[in-house]
Amino acid sequence: MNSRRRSPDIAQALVRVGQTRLEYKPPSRRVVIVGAGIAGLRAAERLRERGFDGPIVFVGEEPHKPYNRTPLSKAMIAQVGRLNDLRLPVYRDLDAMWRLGTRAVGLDVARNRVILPRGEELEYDGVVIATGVESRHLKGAPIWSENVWALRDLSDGRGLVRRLADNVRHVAIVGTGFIGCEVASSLRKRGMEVSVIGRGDALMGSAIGAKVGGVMTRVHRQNHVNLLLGRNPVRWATADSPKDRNRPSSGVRIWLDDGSRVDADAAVVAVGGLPTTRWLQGSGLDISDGVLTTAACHAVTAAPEGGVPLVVPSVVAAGDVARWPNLRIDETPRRVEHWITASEHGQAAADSLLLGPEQAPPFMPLPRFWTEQFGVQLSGVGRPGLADACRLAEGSPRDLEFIACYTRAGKVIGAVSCNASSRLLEYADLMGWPLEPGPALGAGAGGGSAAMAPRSLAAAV
Amino acid sequence: MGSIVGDDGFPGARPDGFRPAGWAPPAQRLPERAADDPYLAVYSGLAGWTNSAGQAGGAQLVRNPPPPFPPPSEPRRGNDRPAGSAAPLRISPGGMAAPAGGTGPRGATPPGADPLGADPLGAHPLGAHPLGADPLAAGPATPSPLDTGSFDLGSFDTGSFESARSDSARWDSARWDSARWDSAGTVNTGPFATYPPSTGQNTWTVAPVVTDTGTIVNTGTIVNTGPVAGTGPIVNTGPIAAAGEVAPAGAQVAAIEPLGPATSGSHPVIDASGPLPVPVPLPVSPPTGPLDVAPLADLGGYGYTPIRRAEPGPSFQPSVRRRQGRTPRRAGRSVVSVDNNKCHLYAICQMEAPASFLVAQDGRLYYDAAPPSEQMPSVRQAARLCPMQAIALRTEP
Repeated sequence: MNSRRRSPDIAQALVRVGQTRLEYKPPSRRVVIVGAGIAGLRAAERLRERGFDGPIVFVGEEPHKPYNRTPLSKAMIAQVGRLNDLRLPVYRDLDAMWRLGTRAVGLDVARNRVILPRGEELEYDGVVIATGVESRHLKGAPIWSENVWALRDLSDGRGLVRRLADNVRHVAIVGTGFIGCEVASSLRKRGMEVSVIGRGDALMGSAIGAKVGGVMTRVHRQNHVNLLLGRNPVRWATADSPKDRNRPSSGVRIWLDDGSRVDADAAVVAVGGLPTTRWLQGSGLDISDGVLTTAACHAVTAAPEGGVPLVVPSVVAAGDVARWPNLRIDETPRRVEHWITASEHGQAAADSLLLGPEQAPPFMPLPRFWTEQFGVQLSGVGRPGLADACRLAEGSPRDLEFIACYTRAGKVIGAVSCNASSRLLEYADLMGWPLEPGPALGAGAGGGSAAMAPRSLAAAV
Repeated sequence: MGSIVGDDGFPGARPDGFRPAGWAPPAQRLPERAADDPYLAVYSGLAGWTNSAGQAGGAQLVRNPPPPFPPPSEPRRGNDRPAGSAAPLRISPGGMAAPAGGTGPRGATPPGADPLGADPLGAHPLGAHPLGADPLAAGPATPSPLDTGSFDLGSFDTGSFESARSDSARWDSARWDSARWDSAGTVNTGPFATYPPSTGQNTWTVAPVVTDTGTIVNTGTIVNTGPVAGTGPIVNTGPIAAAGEVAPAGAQVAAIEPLGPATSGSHPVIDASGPLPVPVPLPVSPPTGPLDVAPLADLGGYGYTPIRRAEPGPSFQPSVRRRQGRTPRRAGRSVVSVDNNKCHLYAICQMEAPASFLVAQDGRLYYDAAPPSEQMPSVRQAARLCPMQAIALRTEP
């Protein structure tokens, strides 16, 4: 009897439990990722890896899902490979909503909303700012012309390729950064005549220093790139310029500040990028040269008058747009425009968003970059651009197989290898350590150090 | 990001001997036990080949037969350790120091094994293993010398590098282990016992050895032109070019005897008049020492370094709540493939997954096509960060 009387109670209790389970809905948190690039993609992937089960919304300006931009200046311009090579691997089911072709126009930090065009508002619990950089505009350059191109995204690359197919023989490239040099190499590979106009005296000098940059300058010169270094364009005219008496009949004409003139069929402006932070104006965040974040990727508000900057726990920034202190190097916030770092940054930003500012560890990656020009592979670690000294660590620049070690205040801050990427790993371990013997180290060396003296460390490039 | 530990202990050694200025080698672990531990030669794989000073290296003409193990007169117990000596520590792959001879996935030390001898890292006459921590001492799976079966190579057997050179690379690191002896005095017939098929001419230089009595035993070159039987003694058909006087075997043993173990004088010296077992000679092409890790060092050796810098990852516990929607299926085995046409050898994969990728100094990429599941996060990260996007992962159902 007892059991018979108790059983409906148990059944009712179970029903109640089930109803409670049905009624209880865990707070669904929504993460909005502004910018459908590599950093945003890796952030979403990492969120899913960590077990985040809320909705993820991508807001991307381009009409494409994230793709690999690094072949644009290399394989795409050189016309080797296929469009399919731009795919990026994702090892999780992202289950994301894609608002592609949509440009975010504002961020309301106080109300946790991303402002979209036509007054649409997208509420979030966490937002990842990964809008990256856009091409810097060179003053006076007629970027609107069909003969003058900047190279940043897939539409730029397609347009430039289409323009190059139209009987282009001579291309002028303004800018001696990585993009400019890679485009020069790719176009020379296609047999075009290439002129490179740059301010500095060495190619890629701001990134890898004058010595290694000088080696690459020699490589370009040997491959018959017309190098116009130490010059600035002062005046432009294109065939489609309205009412310009000096406009060429076809192509583009560039006057330089030393009085010379370059006539080309097309021009590529590759003078770096600027962070895409215009949409963040008025949000209160510190957006001077990128979104300032803490070492753990959380955005920081601009300090009001007499106030202190505040950390916003629900906003993280990753990729090229973020300016953050890499504590592996020092505490100065900087932007890093490396593809590998952007991937790692997205992952770290996702972790930081889930962990919160108190628990999130600092993001201290080893910056790594690579480039290939005329078959010469350069790969680097650290920040060689911040160094104050550069030494040949091994190899020979004459043979185009060497490793240069960069030091700042006597400590290794980076290394660049030329055609010796696998040897670079050992120099990555030396980051932050003195290359020179300090007084303490030198005193304790003893007799055994004579046989282990470094070989040709002091040789100049 | 691993690095080779040089034979002077320098992490990040290179074949050209690069050392940062001011770098001093750490204090070498001298083989104090070489003189008093009769089992040292057995454990270090150099049984029968010690010189008169009881150390390995240099001339190896004086044959020192391994004592029977355990000695029949006095069975040696497993915990027979000299008083006051602590158990030797061994660096395990996880970075923790575990006492040798402890428990592990293979269980306790076999009863016949010596806890002192179960530490090939410490017992080796060279001190530290030139590759850093001994890869074969990765776990407590170190086979005792009584193991006459095939040797468990530990982590070396799990991976399969897709190259014809993989076998030799694996063998090179394990060759000194393959020459172990068992108690019967025969070369064990492990998987590497007969490798390489020594059909050619083996030449190796023998440095002069001054025995205890001061006689120069041999200065010259032994030219071995005959085939070497894998499991038997060397059939030496060529002449032995020796400038000095070769002492008879019995005299050598007599000269050895005063140097014998001080603590274990009870071991009977084997009558050396009989046919002494001779280990399979190994072709030592560049004389880099008795361990001869030069081929592996040439390959770079990355990925075999079991000690890794701890990654500053977050200690985040994902929610146990499952995502709604589809049921996550248990992932199958992943198969890695690298497109050789795309790969430009930037070695980013080696930085990310040093246990699965190796850009060797021969300019080729060696990789683990079927990495173990615990390596898959790093392999995936390597595939994500590959500059040329040449790594493809496929999941077998």
